[in-house]
Amino acid sequence: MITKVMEKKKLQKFLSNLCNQKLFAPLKDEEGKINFGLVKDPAEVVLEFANVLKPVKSLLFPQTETIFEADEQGIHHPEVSENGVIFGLRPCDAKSVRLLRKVFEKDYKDNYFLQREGSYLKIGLACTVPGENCFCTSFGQGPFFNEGLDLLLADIGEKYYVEVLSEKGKKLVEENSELFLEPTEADMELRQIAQANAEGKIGREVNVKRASEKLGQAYDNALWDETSKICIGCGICAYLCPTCHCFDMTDEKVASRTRRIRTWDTCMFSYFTLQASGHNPRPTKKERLRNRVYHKFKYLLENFDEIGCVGCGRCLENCPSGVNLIEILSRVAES
Amino acid sequence: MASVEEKLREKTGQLLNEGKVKCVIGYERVGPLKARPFFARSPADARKIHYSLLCSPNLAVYLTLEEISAGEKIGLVVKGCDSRAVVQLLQEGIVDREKVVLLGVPCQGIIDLEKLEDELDKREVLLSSVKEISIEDEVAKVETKDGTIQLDRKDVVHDVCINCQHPTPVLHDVLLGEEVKPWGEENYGDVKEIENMDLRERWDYWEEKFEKCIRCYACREACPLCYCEECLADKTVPTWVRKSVRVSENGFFHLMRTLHLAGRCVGCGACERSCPMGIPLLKLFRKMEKDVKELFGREAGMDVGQKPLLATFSLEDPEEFIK
Repeated sequence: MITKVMEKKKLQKFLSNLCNQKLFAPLKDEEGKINFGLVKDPAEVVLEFANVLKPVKSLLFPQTETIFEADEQGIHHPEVSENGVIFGLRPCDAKSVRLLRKVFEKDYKDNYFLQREGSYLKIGLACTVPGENCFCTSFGQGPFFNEGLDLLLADIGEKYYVEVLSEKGKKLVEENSELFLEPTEADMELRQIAQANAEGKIGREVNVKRASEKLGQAYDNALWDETSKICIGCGICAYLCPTCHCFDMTDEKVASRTRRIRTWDTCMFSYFTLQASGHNPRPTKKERLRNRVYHKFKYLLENFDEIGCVGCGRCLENCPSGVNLIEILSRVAES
Repeated sequence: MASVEEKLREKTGQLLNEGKVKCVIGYERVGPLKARPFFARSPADARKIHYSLLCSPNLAVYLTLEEISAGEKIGLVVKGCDSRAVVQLLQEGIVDREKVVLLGVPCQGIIDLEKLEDELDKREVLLSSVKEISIEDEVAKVETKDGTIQLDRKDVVHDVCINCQHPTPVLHDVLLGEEVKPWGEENYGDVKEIENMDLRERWDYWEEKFEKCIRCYACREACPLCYCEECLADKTVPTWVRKSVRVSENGFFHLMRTLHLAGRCVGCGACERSCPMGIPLLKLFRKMEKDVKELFGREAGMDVGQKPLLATFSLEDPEEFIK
């Protein structure tokens, strides 16, 4: 692996060079929320944050996506490639991209996702200050995990330690060669220390392997009823989840055009499984919450050999009723 | 003197022991700055009941969720605003008074963690170092790992709580604690700020807010008065709100919800506190509340005997909109 360092004062220059293309990076809005947004001024890019609120999937698999539009002239397909750069992905979100890719390329190749995802260059930012609900280390990854990225930058004090992870990344570094230096031994040491520090700050842990092994026998366990009682049935956990990927397809008529769109949907909504007959196979919150956990920790594991959760903690952090996935998994593991 | 929390635990234990209720819905503490709803079913559970300035969700929402409405008698912990939601539900004939035992708790305001964090930032103290927070008179005492910090109560509780006119439950079977008086008169400053904008500015303001909505419906689900069996937003035949998540549809959803809650919203702010995107929904609902007060002299959730506002008609009703 090629490694470099970049002095921190060079970052603004690097970001403004990236602005030659479409650059998406963490920006703060009026409400103080940090989300990926199109960068107009590199000085606005937020560098100190635990994670963005809306996961990176919102760029790759947008909440509303036009599949095609039709009018009297015929059918029009939208351009899906963005050819942009995403700066500031956390390692958990970067991992989620690979998990989403597995879903969108098995059986049916979903070119809307695949093409768009492939058209982005992804620059990660290692977590030096993880959030209080982060538990990525429970999945064998961590705050400095570099999978799924083209470059990974890690804050080592005066500089960023840069890992060059793909051909695209290499090309970008070459194009901006004046901004990068060779790392010294001291830099490498600082990086190791930063990683150990960050990993040490992750305070939550759960035995996910044991939990997923136990899930098969936990279907009728009382825990589903107990833990879902406080759930109010909104879609926050799924919509802010970097790996939840269910969608609905509808046709909408706008003026003289019809468009077929897909929009995010979630098994947490009662309508998700409501059938035309009026029958609902998941009639209460208990079945719906259980399904979401089973999907991530059992069904995806069976279909793709990998658990569909990256431990970002967004569902715990943002649930208005305090439903806690770690607690649920711990109860399953102990069942 | 026993704390509100101790009294709540005792009362909960008593109700469950005597078999008067099937369960008591209250709060449990799950972190130094986090409490969540809790269903106490046994006397042992009663000891886990928590009450503090962290108890944010409006528990009246559980009265309309299917499991409860079909069930037996339950106990419900209510703050001022929660009790008004119950009154409104009773007024609308949704809840059977005989089925609910209301455990009233006077409320000093709910902690706004973002405001608290801002205050602590100024003093270079981390939110994560907070161990305990309590309010006495106008002072919020924040205990951290490195000592106690005193803050102004107004600087740490939600703005909606500062404006609250009914911090003591308006309906209860038992009141556990001393009456809390409102801070001052309601002035609707936040609403007037929007009213003073011209139409274009107002539109731009809300367009920017509605743009952020992700249609998770947390606002609707957290609202005790949003109990329609089928929400207009979910209807597909006919489709009132399109599935596409864009400003027109998001805005329509929020405005429709606001109008449907006219004269019904008790202004607890559960919607705004649940919104992950930070949309200032209370500005919409408080505008509606202000209009209802000015036009009809009514406040939602105050009188069980009253007929719901939108189900009544009086010849004196203002009708300036008819030209």
